[in-house]
This record gives sequence, C-alpha cells and structure tokens, in this order.
Amino acid sequence: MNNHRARVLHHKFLLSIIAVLIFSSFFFSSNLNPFADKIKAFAEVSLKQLFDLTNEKRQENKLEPLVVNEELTKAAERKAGDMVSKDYWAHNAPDGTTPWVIIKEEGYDYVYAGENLARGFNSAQDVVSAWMASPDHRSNLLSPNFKDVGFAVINGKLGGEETFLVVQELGSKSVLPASVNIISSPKQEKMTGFSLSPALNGLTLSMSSEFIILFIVLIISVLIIDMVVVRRKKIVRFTGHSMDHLTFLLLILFVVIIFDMGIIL
Amino acid sequence: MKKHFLYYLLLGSVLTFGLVLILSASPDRGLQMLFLGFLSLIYAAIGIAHHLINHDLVFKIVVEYVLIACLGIAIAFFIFKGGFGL
Repeated sequence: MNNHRARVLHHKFLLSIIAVLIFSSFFFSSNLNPFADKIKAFAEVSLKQLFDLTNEKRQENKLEPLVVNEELTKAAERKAGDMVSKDYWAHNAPDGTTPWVIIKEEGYDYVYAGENLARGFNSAQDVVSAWMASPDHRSNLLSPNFKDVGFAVINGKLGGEETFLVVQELGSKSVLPASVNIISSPKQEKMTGFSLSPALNGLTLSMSSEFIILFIVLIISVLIIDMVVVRRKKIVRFTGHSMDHLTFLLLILFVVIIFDMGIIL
Repeated sequence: MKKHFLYYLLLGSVLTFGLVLILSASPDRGLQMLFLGFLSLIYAAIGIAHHLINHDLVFKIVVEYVLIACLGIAIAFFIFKGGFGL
C-alpha cells in the first residue's frame, strides 16, 4: 500500500466514466439500442401480468373478475399514444379532451368509467401495488361498478424522459338505467393528483439503476477507505475533502432511486 | 472535522435544500434534472471556495470538484434517459 489515492478516484478514471455515461445516455435512448426487442417483450408480459394481478386483487376482496374489453383496450392504447405524441401526463389532454370522450369514441357506451395511469415502473407488480396503496386508485381497482377493463403499456418519451406508460381504462355497460351516468375516476379534473410510488415495499429497480447504484457504492466505499487510511497514516495531500464527495454521492444515490420510482395518476 | 464544522453545516444544508427542491419538482423529471444540475454547480463552487478560503487551493482540487459534480450529473442523466433500456 502506498500513499496514493485509489485509481477509481483518479481524474482520468472519473473523466472516462463521465464520457461513457454520457455516450451511453444517447446511444441507448436512440434507435441503435440493442435491447429494443427486450423492451417490447417486457411490455407484452406486463399486459397479461397487469390483468392477472388486477383480478387477483379483486378476487381477494370477493369481487367479480374484470373481463378484457376490446373497445377499452383501444381507448387505453389511444390515450397512451396521445400522451406521448402531445407530451403530457394527465387524465385530461391539453386541449381539454377527457378520457371519457376517448372511451365513447372507441365505441364503449359506458355507464361507469374510470382511468388509472402509471409511469416509470419496472414491473407490473409494482404498478398494481402502487395503485392499491393509493385510496383513489384502489377504489377504481376494487369498484364493484366496473365489469370490463382495457390496458395499454407503451414505451415513450415524456418531458424528454424515456419511460414506460401504463393506462388502465375501466368501465361498465351494466344494466343500470341509462339516465344514471356516473363517472368514476380519481381526481380526473386535477393535474396534482399524482403520487410518487406510494408502495415502496417490493420496489423493483431497473438493471441500469442497480448497476449505477453498485458503482456509486464502490466509489463511496473507496472514499471511506481513503479517509480512514489518510487519518491513520496522517498523510498530507492536496486533494478535495473525501467527506464532501461522499455526501454529494449519497445525494446522487438517492436521486437515482427517485428517478427509478414510478408515478401514478 | 471540528475545524470545518461550519463548512460541513453549510454544505449539508445546501444539499438537503437541493434534495427537497428535487423531491418537490416531482413528477417533472426535466425540472428535477435542472435542479440537480444547479445543485452540482453549487456543490463544486462551495468546495472550491472552501479550499480558497483555507489557502490550500490548487488546480488539481478545482478539477476534482468539477469532475465529481459532472459525475453526479452524468449518472442522473443516464438514468433520466432510460439507462441501458433494461
């Protein structure tokens, strides 16, 4: 052991990591992404899982399972596509179009209708857990008024961020009198009805985040070892304070976890 | 550590305030990235200013703070852009 800093703290190494991260940010978000097929596969798996998990929760609460409805599925796909193309994250489109208009236009003549949205989650389990942890979304999921459901899971950019969008449209064409036209939705008029993944239990991190977290933990560990060695051997060096970098990197670690958490609306 | 108590108090307060700002900007990831960018710049500035006040500032230290700040931004940007897509 000498009195020098570990190689991972050398300027050249840090500069190389920064360059790799910036290059990867643009490369993997572009059409050259070699994992594009896997992303598509994830979306296909999620649709079935979302449906199964939703009905699992309903059956646990002694409710009738929902049935996949083609018109609601089309409405969900249209809503998801609309959010990506117009770059908004809300129940109502910027031009004021409500989900109920889309559902009606797709041919679903509802008596009851509801909509749950989610984005940025890494598994169907996390999406359903987050909805179940939010009273408004839970009441939609467990409403006895709904008989049909339609899902859409798409990958797209919202506000420059590459993310997965999940749209769940719920409805019923039940035998209730036509004059009873009740719309059920969690705060569909409010833009502030979001919550930041209220269900942290069992939160699944993406592989990218796990990789980055491991890297940050490595740097933090090296900084701690460096601090201990410098103190014990009373080494005098003209370097920045390791404690500063450690504190800053802990903040970055927290931000990575925040960025990887999903949001529901 | 005791010698730099005020400095660490200032740095801790600034980073905590920045974290609160980032959390309050949710779900707007773009705004969160912007706040993180500013916070990283402030982090580097405070670190460099501290060494300047202590009369032990050398060019190597300036580069070190700038690189750590850039590393923070690069990591967050990588996740913001979707990582490896996995």
